[in-house]
Amino acid sequence: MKDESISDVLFFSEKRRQILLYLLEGPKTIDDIKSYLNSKSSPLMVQIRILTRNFLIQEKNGVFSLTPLGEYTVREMRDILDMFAVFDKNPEYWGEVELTAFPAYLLSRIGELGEVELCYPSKAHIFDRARPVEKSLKSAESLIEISSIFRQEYVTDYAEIAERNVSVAFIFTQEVIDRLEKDFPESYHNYMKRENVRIFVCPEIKLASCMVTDKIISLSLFTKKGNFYNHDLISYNNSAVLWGTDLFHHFRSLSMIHNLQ
Amino acid sequence: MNSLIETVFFSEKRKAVLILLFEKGPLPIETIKSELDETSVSILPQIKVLIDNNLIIQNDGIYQLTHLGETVAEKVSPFIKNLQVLSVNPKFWSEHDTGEIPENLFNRIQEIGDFKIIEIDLRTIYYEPNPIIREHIKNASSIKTFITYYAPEYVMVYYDRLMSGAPVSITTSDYIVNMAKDYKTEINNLLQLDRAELNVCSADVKIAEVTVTDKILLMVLYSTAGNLDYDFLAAESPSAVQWGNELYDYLRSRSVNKKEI
Repeated sequence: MKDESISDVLFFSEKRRQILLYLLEGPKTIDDIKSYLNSKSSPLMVQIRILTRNFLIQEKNGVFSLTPLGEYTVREMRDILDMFAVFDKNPEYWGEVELTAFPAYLLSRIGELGEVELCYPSKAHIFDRARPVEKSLKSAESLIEISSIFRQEYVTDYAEIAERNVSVAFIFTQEVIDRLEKDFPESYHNYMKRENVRIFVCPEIKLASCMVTDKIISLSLFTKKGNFYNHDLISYNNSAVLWGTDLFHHFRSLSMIHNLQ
Repeated sequence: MNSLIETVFFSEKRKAVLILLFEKGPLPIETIKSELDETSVSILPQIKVLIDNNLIIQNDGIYQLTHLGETVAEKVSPFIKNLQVLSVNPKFWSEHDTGEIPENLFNRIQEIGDFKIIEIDLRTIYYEPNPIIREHIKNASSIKTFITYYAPEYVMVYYDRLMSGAPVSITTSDYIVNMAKDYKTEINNLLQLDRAELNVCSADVKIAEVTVTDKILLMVLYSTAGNLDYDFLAAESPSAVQWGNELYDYLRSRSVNKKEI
């Protein structure tokens, strides 16, 4: 019995994980737990006994709660499970893309992306953004774009958003700014004179692009070999949007504001 | 492909390989085998699972984490290491309030390494210092102590150290300082010494004691019910002392320095 390691207790049973994550919300009665897990008493009590015996939960007057050891352990477990859920949803994708694009502290929080969806365009729309991205752009109340690739939308859809006077921040590589200025001078000068638009230049951006609005984040990454194929990895979770905002702050701290020459 | 929970947690050997490569960097198979005390037959199948799941790669006989593997290991490794330390005495960590230890320090609890719990016989309190504790302090060449309970029996031990030339820093609550007002003149005289330091914190910090010398970390936590059971956690590794210093510095940063009382 002494052989149970805490990590085995945590990870070998889905039911135990559910009980623990539920208790992270606060103390619960056995009836709460039963109805939450939709489970009968006896199989549940077996798991509860294992958790109690390993000092992760305690019972007082019929109310179950996490011990301090349980509190720490379950918080960490939740973070690990969140990260694993993101990677497990698209394992081939994550095995293939260039992760050095992100600073380590944000990679370690990648679980905050939550329920991600990987969208590949159909052949007829091979150069278009995913539908959910196009759609959410129309109602965006703020827009951040971090990018090392030139996208046609920067002079179409994004320009329309800028016209609506919402806050727009671009972090581009010099190459992207040069292309914008040279081939689309009208759009470029329009951005430069708008008060609601800020353009920053970053010496190195190793992701293809990242768009963050108040509602959605969309990531497009290079493969480890440096190739790019059109895709949007999107999430609508609040925590994902906050993660994207932190990514913006990371790149912003490495960037200079871009002014007219 | 397996789920990451299966890949990482369902095999002690895979977990060990991930942690080893995370800590030591790229390694040839011979080193992996000898470090983990495994044979080719016992370890290669597990390594293959890690390779198939994009967590490690092999080049010219050298095994290393992929960036994905590193992201996963960076998340999982500190947790596993912390659990190893907490598992030494899970009962202690389930019955004592650790909420006041800042998260970034508790996440590094592995650094305290081997620790023991010294139980103090409550009948001796107020008369003489515990012999084990006194033994640890009496030759210390520096002492920092954060204390929120009244322990007059240790005053002479600290006084001896101060007189021997050791720097002594004490951080305590208003409440304790008031109790010491009878010795106001003597205390103020001692505080004239450069090597004596007194800081005053608010009385509601829920840590009973943190004492750090050049050789040992001693910590007393309140029970989850808020009682004091005088269970001393004692850890003697250099990393434990370093960890204790950081905890002390954090507690001191939340207090006010006093040149006199």
